[in-house]
Parts: sequence; structure tokens; C-alpha cells
Amino acid sequence: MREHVKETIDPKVIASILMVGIVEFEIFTIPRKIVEVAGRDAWLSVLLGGVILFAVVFMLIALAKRFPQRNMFEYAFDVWGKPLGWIIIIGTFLYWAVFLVMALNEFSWINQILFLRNVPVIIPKLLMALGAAALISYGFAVLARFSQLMLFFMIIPFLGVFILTLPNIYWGNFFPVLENGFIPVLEGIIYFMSIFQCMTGIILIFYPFFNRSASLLKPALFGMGVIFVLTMLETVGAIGVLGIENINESAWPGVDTITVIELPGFPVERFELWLTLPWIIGIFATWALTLYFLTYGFTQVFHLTAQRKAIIYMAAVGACFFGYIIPNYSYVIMIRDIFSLSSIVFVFILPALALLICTLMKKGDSRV
Amino acid sequence: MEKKTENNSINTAKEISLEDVRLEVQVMEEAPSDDQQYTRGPKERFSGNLNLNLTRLGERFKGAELKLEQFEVGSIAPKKVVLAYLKERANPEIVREIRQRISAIRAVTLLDISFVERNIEDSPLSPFPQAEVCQRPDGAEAALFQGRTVILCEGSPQALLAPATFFDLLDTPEDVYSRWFLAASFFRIARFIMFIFAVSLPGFYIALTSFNTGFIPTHLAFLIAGSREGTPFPVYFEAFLIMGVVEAVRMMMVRLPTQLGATIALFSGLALIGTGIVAKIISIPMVIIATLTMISSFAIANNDLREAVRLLQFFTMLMTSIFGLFGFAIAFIYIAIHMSVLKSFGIAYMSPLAPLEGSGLGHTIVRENTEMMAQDETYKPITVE
Repeated sequence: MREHVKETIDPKVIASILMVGIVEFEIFTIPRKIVEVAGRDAWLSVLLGGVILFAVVFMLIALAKRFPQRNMFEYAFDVWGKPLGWIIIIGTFLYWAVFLVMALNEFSWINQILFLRNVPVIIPKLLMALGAAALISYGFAVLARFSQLMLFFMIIPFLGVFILTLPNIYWGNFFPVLENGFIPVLEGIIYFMSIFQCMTGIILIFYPFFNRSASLLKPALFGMGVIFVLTMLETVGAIGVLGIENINESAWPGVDTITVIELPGFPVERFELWLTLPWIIGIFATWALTLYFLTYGFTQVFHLTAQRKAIIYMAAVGACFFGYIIPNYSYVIMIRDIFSLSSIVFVFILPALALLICTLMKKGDSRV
Repeated sequence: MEKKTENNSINTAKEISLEDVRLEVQVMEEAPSDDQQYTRGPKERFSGNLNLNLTRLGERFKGAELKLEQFEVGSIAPKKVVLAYLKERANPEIVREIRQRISAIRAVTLLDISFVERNIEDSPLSPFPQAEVCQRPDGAEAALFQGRTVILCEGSPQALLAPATFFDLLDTPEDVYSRWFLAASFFRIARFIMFIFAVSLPGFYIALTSFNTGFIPTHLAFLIAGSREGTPFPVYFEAFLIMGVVEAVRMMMVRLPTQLGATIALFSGLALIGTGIVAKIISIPMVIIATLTMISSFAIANNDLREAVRLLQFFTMLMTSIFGLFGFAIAFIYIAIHMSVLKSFGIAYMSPLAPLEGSGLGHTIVRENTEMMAQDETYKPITVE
């Protein structure tokens, strides 16, 4: 019996997987990237990006609906043909592998700066990687339950803290609107879209797992809607509180924005530090999902499902050690920026082309 | 992790009727056992007599289709084990699974129902109990109406309710019998918060005071630093020491369950803590944390879950002693992974929160305002995963 026929899940679960899987530390850095290109109009980039994002969700589900019993690796050759299919599959594996190494490296650098100055970075890396490997080795149903369990500990603190920053916003920082024209806003959209690396994988790989996959659209839109609101709150908060000059100087504008929160008489100071747990949960969940995509796809394409557990652990440990070829954190940021741009190809352009090919050439198990 | 049940039945089941056992009861009355106090609800308890227990259960199901299956378990001194369920409510796959697991028990005898429990639960390695121990016939009745099964064993004054989720174990009879649903919901949520406190408070304190002092509000940080001045041990050592003393006092109270025992335990605890503070061997904030943790742990009604919490408490302390707040987060994630993986007879342990079932939240996370007994889909899945 194929794995995804064996384990079927309620479609509503996709909302929590999307939220927990996509939100990670990037939510604190994305305002800087967008402000760098779009300036004070970054919020417009997020707004327009949100509209495009919802359209992309429609597109991905339309593509998945054409192959309701198969995931993206199973129908890749049907859509692209053999040679191109292989190139795209291998490229996708490389893309996820680079993400695994980069994300873990970035995490370990930040972790060292904030929490564990004297502990060798490999130890927290291994703790994260082995935990993620253990989680995904139990399969998709457990991953889905984990994401639902973590949702409350992650999204609610993020939303709460971002909302608390709103009273400190200076609305004058948003004017004049479109000072540099519309082109920078469009460039900002590209950066906004780059934080959704996991979205394509979640929809196109997990689709056959859902028992009523036809009703996947609403929960998927809801999940993306929450992430959109979070990113919008974060961007508006950063521009309104810090101003664009300070955002450009800040490594983590999201974190710096939260430092302004003050609640007189409330026994908590430095609210940003209290997001540690949601942040670590976020990066862990994103990392675990990507590891799942990579190892699940790899073992399926190369018919190694019997060795899946071993491959999961090997990939997890490998990702920890591959990070050592990157010399320092500035390289991490640089590679991550390049990676963000390549996300556009793997996350949006390739699925869009696949849907176009399927529509024009009438491909698919059920033509919607 | 999930237990694989092969079809290797050693103990075969036979159906019995309540009429058979009722006749014997007249001469077998005995004092019921009681290790928990409840403010509302029936005071009736199970006793060590199986027939009496079955009769007590049967009296609550006049007209309902209560099914009883009896097993003889044990090769040298066999004991009777009875599996009870309501045919129209219980999931047949779950009943079949439990029947198979009881049938497969290889034992010379059963000293107590706990020997059944350890043989049939999904993961014996897990710190979390996967079946609920119940002393009250009304609790067993409620479980049967939920679609769960009740397992009784000859000579044991307790019943096992299976399957059991995490939320079943945090449930108390007061939640059900309380008049005002808002009060019941409030205390239930308070119990969840206390569960989190009981698992995490000492670890969190170690992380904040040893590694990440920046998290502590300035005034509080000065107070803690001031009271720790002159104490010879690092925070983590102090934490392990005091939590160890708390465990020792608790064990002492269990071993000496009389008024004298409680007095000796109280005196020993107070003398140790008092002299420790005066001699500046331990700090006052650590005593406050240890006491809060202990109080929080007693909010958990289920003894097996309380034991699990105590061990997890030491796990979080160990992780934070080495890795600070990052260790706390990793411990939290590891525990969450385990709870996501764990199942009780095919039912996800964190159900109805993960997987989320809206219909179940009204009698797990909160208590809804209902005239009837709350029902949900938790124990009625279409297929057992």
C-alpha cells in the first residue's frame, strides 16, 4: 500500500502546517530586505504580494487537483518529460538541501549570539537536527499532529507581541507614499514572496495525504492569510517604530521593533527575548518539513523507501556538518539572499509553468 | 512505538452475564478503597472484589447493552480479567485491539490491574500513562458512555479505562459535577497551566538565572541576586538539591500515610528548608520555585501522570542546566514530539487538540454548558490510525 493512501488526514490540518512550517526567523529579517528595495512603501509590497500569494495558492491547488493521488515527484515526468523532469527534480533536491544547511547555520549563529556563547555550534545544531529527524521518521500524520500542537505556542505569542507594537507606531514614517515610484514596490514583492519556500512543498507533496483534498483550498487560504497578517504587522511595525533609516542599519528589525514595547506595571521587560520559544519552534518546524520534503522525495524517486529512516538521519547529520564550509555569518546572509531569489523559480515559476503545460496539453489524472 | 499485536491468544475470552455475578455479591461486601478526595459526585468506590465491582457497574446500566468479556490470565495462579464496553458506543476496532492485547498477556499471575496495564499499553517506555486508572464506578460509567472500555481485574480495587488521552488524565470529577460550567472551565484551564508549571518551572528558573539573566525584569533580578548572595552552590545544583528533597518528603508521606507521617514529613521539610535558608546554603527564590512546582504538580489528579511530570521536570532541569533557554526550548520540543507520536490504542494521545476536533474541545480544554453528558468524536474514528 502506498504511504499516502495509508495515512489520510483532515484537510483543515493544512492551515496549521502552513503556519507552523512557513513562519520562522525570517519574519524578523524580512522587513529589512523589503525596505532596502521598496523603502517606506514596503507595506505596499507586502499588500500586493499578499494578493499574488493568494493567487499562487489557487494555482498550486489547481495543479495538485489534476493529480489527486500523486505528489509532485510522481507526476514530474508526465508534465515535464524525462530529461527536464530529472533536471527539475535534482534541482529541487539541491534547493532544499541548500536551505537545510543555510537555515541550520543561520540558526546556530543567532543562537550563539543570543544564548550559547561558549557552546560549540555543532551541539545545538545536532540537537535540532536529530529532533527533526526523529519527528519526521514517524511519517506525515505525526508531523501534522506536531504542527497542530505547536500552533498555539507559536502564532499566538507572535500575534500578541506584534499587536502590542502598534500603539508605538509613528504614522508619519509612511508618508509620502510612492516617493520612488512603483518599480521598487514590485521589487519588494519578490523579497516578500521568497519567505514562502515551504508552501509549494506543503501543497504539492502533501496533497494526496488529505482525505477530502477537494476542500483543501479554504484552510490553505486561511493559513496563508494568517502568515500574511503576521508579515504585514511586522513590516508596518518596523517602518512605523524604527523608520526606514534604522531598519537599514538593523540586522533583525523585527526584534528591534519589539524592544519598544512597555507595559507599565507588567512584570516583563524585553519582550523580544520572550519570543525565543516561538522562534525556535518556528525554525525547528520549517527545518523538519524541509527535511521531510527532501528525504521523502529522494527515497521515492530513487526507490529507497525501505531505507528512508536511515536516509533521514544521514541527511539531518549531514546538514549539520556541511555548514562548516561556510566561513562566517556574513556569508550566510549573502547566500541566503541569493537563495531567496532562487525561491521564486522553485516555489512559483516552475509550478506556474507546470500548470500551464497541464492546461495546454490536457495532462492530469483528473482534468479540472 | 506502537505496540504490534500478533494473533497469539493465550487467554481466551468468554462472554458473561451480570446475573451470574449478582448472586455472589450478597456475601462479599467489603470496604472500598479511596486515595482521592472529591467535593462533589458519588462517593461509591470500586473494591477488591471483581463480582462486586461488576455489580456496581451493572447497576448503572439497566437496559443498556453492557457487554462483558471475561479472560483467565496467568499460567500458575490465573486471575479473572473483565473487559466491559457498550456495544452501541464503543469502536469495534478498539475493542478488538484491547481484546487481542489482553489475550496475548503471558504471565504466571496478575498481582494487580497495573500488570494488565503494562502489558497492553502502546508504549511501555513512555513516561505518560496510556490508560486511565479509575476507582469510581461513576467514572467508569462515563467512560463507557464516551465509547471507551473498562477493564477490571480480580483482586484490584481499580479499573482501567482505555483508551485514554492526555486530556482524560487531567480531567477530574468536579469538572463534570460542578454546577457552573464557567467555573469548571476556569479550573480546568488553571490545571493545564499548572501542568506546564510543574514540568517547566525549575528548569525555566535555572535557564533564566544561570544563562539568560537579561530576560528577568531588572527589579526582580536584583532581588534574586541579593538573596543568592553568599550561597555556595550554583543555581542548577541548588535546584536539583531542593527538588530532590521535595521528592524525598513526598515519598515519606506516601510511605507513612497517617497523621503522624504527615506531621513528620512536614516537620522534616520545614526544618531542612528553614535551616538551609538561615545557614545560607540555599536561596529563598529557589525555595519559592520548588514549592510552587510541588503545589502545581498536585493539581494533576492522575497519579501516573503526576509521576511522569516529576520525571519530565528533571529532564527540563537537566537540559536547561547545560543549554540554558535553548535547552528549555529543545526539551519542550522533544516532549511535544513524543506526545505527538504517542497513541493510546490507536487514538492520538493529544486528541482532540492534535488532531484538532472541534467537537471534543467542549469537554477537554473547557467544559461546555450542556444538559447532557458531553460527547465527541475522539473515540469514534472511522478507522484506527
